[in-house]
Amino acid sequence: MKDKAWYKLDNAANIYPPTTNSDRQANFGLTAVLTEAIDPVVLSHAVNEVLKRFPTYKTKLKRGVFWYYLEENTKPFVVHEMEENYLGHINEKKNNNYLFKVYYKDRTLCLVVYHALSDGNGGLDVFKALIYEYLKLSGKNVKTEGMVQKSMNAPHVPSEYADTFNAVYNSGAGKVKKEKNAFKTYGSHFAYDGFGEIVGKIKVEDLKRVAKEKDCTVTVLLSAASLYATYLGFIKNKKVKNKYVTALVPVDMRKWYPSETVRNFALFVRLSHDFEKEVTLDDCIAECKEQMKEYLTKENLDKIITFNVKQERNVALKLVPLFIKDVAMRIVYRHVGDNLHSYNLSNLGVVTLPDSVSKYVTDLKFSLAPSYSNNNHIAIVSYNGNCYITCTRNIVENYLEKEFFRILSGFGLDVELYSNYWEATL
Amino acid sequence: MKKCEICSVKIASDKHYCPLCYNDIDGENANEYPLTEIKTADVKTKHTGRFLAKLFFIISLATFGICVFVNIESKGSYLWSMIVLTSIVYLWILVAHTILSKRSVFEKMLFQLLGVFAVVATTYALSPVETDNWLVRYVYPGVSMLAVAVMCLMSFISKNRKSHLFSFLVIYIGLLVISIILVFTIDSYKTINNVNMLVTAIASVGTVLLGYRSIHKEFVKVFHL
Repeated sequence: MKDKAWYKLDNAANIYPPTTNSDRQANFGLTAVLTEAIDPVVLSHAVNEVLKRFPTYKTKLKRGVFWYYLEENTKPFVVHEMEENYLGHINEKKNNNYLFKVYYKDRTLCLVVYHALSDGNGGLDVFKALIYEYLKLSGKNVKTEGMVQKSMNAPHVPSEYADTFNAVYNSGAGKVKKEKNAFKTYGSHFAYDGFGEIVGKIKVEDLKRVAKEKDCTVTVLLSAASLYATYLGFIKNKKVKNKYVTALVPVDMRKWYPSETVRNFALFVRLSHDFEKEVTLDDCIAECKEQMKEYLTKENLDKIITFNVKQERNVALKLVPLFIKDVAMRIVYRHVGDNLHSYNLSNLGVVTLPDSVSKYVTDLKFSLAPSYSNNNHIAIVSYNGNCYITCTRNIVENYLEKEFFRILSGFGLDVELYSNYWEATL
Repeated sequence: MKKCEICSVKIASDKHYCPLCYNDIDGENANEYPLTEIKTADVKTKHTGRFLAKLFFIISLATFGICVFVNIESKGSYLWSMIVLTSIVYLWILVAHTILSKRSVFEKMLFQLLGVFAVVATTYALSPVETDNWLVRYVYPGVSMLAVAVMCLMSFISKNRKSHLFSFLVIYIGLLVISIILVFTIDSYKTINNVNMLVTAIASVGTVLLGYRSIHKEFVKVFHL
């Protein structure tokens, strides 16, 4: 009998198991709309094939004495028909202990991943491989063309599941800047399990043109627009004490440090604006641009990685039993981590699929699970000349989405919206 | 495609109102994203489990409160209400931890044994009746040896025996320590507990000798720093 493989959680993943529950999830979803209806039997085979290539996904979460860890899962993976609350808590028992889910419905294929496994870019590698493998098993003539990054035919190498935070750790770097508590979006939570989702589809070309006019990147433009939308929707003409709005924007570290990992390797930029005084959208854009420039330097990134890894390497902290760490991490996260941002805004960038694959994929979507402590999230992905902006929320009030998409259409952009109308369930 | 004139956005939906401003919109249906369909009839409330847990917690608390009250009011010769408390805690372990939770076999067995030991120890310490000796002399070592026998059997037949061996060893050592305490302190009869001590000692040594490699690997995995 073969010994089961096991993996330590990466530095960024350590925070997720103690701080997530059915009310506070850390899941993200990648959805593709194919040209033909999905066959669940073929999809099941495809997932099980892909799992051979990505061993860290073929795992279950286990409790050690000091830390959580991932242990090889020998149970077969089962796909599920799409649910309304597809980003909701992954019930390990109903999912054969896997930490990700694969949904299908009609032409829609969806991968939902628990953040302890990987970040958005790691998940995207797996998702691309899944689409490729599904099409291949469906009898389509598809080729990787070097774009399905982790070639399905090549063997997996340890660097693909390495904790790169520890690998790039530099013991010399200094302290990180202390952040202010941020404004929290507020409203009435939905009575049923589920979330409101509004997807905006915009031409990438048009979005880039507007960003060029404003002399900033697309991420900065959308972040500034979301900050301003939060101000218009939740703060302007309302009695709000804390007007410091912060968007938590993940930055893929693979662009800064050489890494092949499919696990977590992202840091977060906090783009903020204090709306104590009346400001314009252009002021927000200028400030976000400045903050992004200030944050994204090699020295600063080194500092943050070192700070994070130092916490994990602290001997006293290491020796604290897990059940105490659980409680401590929960308290710290609730009072420090969660309070430092108003919402997440994650831009996965442009997704390219091989020509032989992309002709079968019409649309792509990236979404983040809203949680009890973070009512709103915005996730962005670009594919096939379109930018898909997914706003998710777990409150009835859609103020952020309303103002955000109105700002974008105000730029002269052609915005197409899709909504799941979750508020209609009330 | 429908268009909301107020928000200046196009809407791909079969609904007749804008998802942003909720104003009526007109136009052709064009649901280009067949992502999710709402089935309002299927939505479930999520608090049933929590409600039951709270209800049983209140019942447990009330039972304990009533027992303490009756115990004090009746001026009983000993604190039997504490035995009730330990039994309630054991019942919680049995239902919430052993039967309903998705914890590992190791944790379940460990908590079961601790629960049984707690009930026996409390009864022995508080009860003036002769049955307490019976619990220490026969019930506890009996349960302990039964658990050891089950674990030994699992060590040979279970598919996941390699990952279980380390957990079993921890439990054997725990049982060994408890039986040593019983033999050298409160159990004057000793015979069954002596046998129990011998059985757990043999099981511990046997597990180490036969499964050293697996135990070492599991140790590194569970204690990784």
